[in-house]
Amino acid sequence: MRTIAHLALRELRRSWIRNLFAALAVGIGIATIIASDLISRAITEEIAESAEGKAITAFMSEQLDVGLTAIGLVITVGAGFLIFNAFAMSTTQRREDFGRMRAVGMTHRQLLLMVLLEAILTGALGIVFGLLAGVGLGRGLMFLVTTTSDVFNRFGEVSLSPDRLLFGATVGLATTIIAALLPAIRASRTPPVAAMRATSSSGRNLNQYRIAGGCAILLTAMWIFLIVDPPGLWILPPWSSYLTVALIALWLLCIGLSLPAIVGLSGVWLRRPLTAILRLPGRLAADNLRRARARVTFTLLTLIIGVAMIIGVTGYLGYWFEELFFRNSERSLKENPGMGFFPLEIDAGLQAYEDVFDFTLTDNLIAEVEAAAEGHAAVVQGYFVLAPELSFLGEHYFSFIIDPHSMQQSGELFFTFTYGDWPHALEITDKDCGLFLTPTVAQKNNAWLYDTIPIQTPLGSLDCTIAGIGPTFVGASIISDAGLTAFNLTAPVTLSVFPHEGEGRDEILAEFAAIADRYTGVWFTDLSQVSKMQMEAMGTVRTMMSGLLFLAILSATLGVINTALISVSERRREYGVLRAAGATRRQVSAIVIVEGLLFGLIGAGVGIVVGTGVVVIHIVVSGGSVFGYPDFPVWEVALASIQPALTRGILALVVSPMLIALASWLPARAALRGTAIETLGRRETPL
Amino acid sequence: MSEIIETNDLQKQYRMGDVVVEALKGVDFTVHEGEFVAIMGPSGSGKSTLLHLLGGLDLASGGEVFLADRRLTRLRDTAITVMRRRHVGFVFQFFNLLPTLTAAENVALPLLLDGQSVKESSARVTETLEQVNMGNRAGHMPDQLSGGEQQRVAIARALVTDPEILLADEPTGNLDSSSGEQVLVILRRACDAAGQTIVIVTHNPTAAAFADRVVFLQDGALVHEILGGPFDVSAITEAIAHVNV
Repeated sequence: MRTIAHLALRELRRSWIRNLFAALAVGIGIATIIASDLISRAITEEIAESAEGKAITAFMSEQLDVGLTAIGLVITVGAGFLIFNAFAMSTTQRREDFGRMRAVGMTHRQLLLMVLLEAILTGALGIVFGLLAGVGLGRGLMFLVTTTSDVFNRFGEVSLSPDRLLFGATVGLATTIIAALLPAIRASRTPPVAAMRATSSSGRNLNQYRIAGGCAILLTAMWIFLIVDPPGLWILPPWSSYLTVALIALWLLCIGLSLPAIVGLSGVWLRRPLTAILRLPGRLAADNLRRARARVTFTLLTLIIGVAMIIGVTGYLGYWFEELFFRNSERSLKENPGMGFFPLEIDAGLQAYEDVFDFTLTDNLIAEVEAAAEGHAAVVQGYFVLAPELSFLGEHYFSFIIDPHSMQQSGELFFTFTYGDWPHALEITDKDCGLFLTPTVAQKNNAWLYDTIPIQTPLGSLDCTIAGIGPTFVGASIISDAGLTAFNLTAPVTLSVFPHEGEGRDEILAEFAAIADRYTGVWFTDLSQVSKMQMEAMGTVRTMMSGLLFLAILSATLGVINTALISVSERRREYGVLRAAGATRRQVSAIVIVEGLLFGLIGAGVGIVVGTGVVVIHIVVSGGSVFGYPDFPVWEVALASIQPALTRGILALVVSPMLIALASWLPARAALRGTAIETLGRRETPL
Repeated sequence: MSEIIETNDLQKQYRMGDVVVEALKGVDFTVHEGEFVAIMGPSGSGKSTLLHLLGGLDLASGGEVFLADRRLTRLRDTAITVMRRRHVGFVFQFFNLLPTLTAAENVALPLLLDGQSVKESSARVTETLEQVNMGNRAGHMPDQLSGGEQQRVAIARALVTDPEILLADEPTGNLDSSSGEQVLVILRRACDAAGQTIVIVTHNPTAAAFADRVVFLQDGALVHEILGGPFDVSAITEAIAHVNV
């Protein structure tokens, strides 16, 4: 074992740049996972002391935690591909070394262990870096957000959570081992005679074209189906989720399987124009693309994943925040603009929670408002609770408790029926506890309209019947007022007032503002202001996610540079042969640069297609089913959501080719610096 | 016959770890136009280094190399490369074909590097492949060819520009005796029929027997030569025994 460890360490030292890049990529993913936990806990801890405060702030914390952790996991998975690439290429390169080791008596198992140990040590380095950087990243992001956001302007002091540290370390290590396993197994199967045989490849494989052809037919059929009969218009949960996952899997699988053929065909199609423009370097670069498909595909994978991730996440955020989340509330606030009383100044963001321990409105205020509203406006008392069963996102998204009769009078702000109707709903809620849920929450409980769900409350289990399914205000579930006793609530957190049709809104607004002025600590505002605050909060979440996407770009860049480095070192001999056959350094450099540009263009292009496809499939298949929006314009929304992502995609299309060309050219330049015979691989140093 | 290759006091030193190795210690060596010369010597005697310096693949530490009246040691890298491309053909022991190109494309490489189009070069490529009996394998990839076939493609690549000089480093070192002989026959024919100058490095007395002259190198210095080839293999064996290399 000592010898194996010694050999693994030697190899790590020999290829330290490659391993450092792989470790950094893992580290970035883990750092994001750690930072997301720190940030999300810092929102609720110390800031929201009371149960109501926690209920109100927990949703922001939950959104951030889910969103940022997801990005962290995606970055880590991307790092996994980088490790897979790096080890797959490295083990191919070291085949002769493995053959020699086998020849002198190393067993399959020892060889497997050696390669896995190299991966584990690389991963461990990444984990240590990630754990340290995660704290810095979390604190840095919080500082940045507090100085720029009107909502997230105060964070609590939190220490690292041992659970999250363990989670991050486990994810990092598991990703590393899984990623390196296949190359390690392949290495362990190296026969001793490999030491004597040079590897070669003709790059011909007709099967790849057959597979690609089959995939093209399948995908064409899929897109025709999505265009002709978008499932988002008719599908119900949970089938929307199943179909989304199935079609995205088909999309990714087909693109993945077709990638070698795509690379090969690009080489065929680009050969003529490249030869015309760049003569031999263009021709050789196009030919290499076609014939070295396996190597090129490996090199491109990291870039494709990076670009697809950026396009996918940006597009998904656009869909979620711009098209889905506030769709109903914006419309209903326009139709029936309400106003509200709150126990704290919502406009002040998280700062408002400082030193506020009582988040309820007083009986006197409620009585006065209800008296003033009599005959002119509907008053809705709003209570906030945390019921994990009803959480729209994760376990800590808040739910409302609202009297359904007042909710009915308030218009469509809080709830709109997609399934069910008011007469049936009120029949339920007048007798018992009723629920108004989005399809997502109903699906989460494996329940549907008129089914009963047991809700855990401080006073035990409470059976509630689903009285209606449809879009709710910001996705929060609504429990009828029968839940008040079970949750031990005596006073509401908000009072929303909706003037009846034909009533003078301005006069009512002035009257209620005057009432609010008489109560200290009560804040009265237009409800659109609350909606705006929600949007601002979402905007900050989105900005933070975009910020972390930068780390994803960094991780992808490391991957690209790494594979380019390995690729150049693998092809050093080839450059030497070209030099010996009469190619000048400039000609060889031109080939390397043109190849890099082609890799970048194809990688970014395929990445854009993959990412766009994932987002469009998701929107067209799921549509508004998460919230239960009827008649959701799936294609219109899909195209609108993907637009900002495509802007980034175009940037990737410009930057990636230059980046890969540079990443390939720099080591190639170093390799070409010596004489032709040195480039061919002689190890002595000339004097 | 005029001299086409000449070296004066040619020296080459390498550093291998902490040790400085003197690969060539002031070699004076001349090859005449149309001559077939074999360089023999034990491993590490400097044979390959000498060949690399003659072809401009490597740079000398001291002394001069003249190739077709041009002082190689004074030329810049690009000029050396262009000269190698147009006037020198190289054949290596391990063929060094590009694995992603077909046999014909490998052969065409020096012409394409010199700016010819595929169309312009195709007739010459076909002719050269025919010359080494590989016309029927033009579209094959290197890994679809046997070692002997790969070496013949490599020779075709070296001959395609019709160079004055062909340098071969152990051209039969990786081949069976039959394939090796085919390669040597081709080289001999290039010398006799086309008047090309051939310099090969070899350990193999049978290969050296094809040459007009055999020079022996030991510890970086020329120690002996025999003239009047092609030889009987026994003459080479005797010479080897004589110089004790």
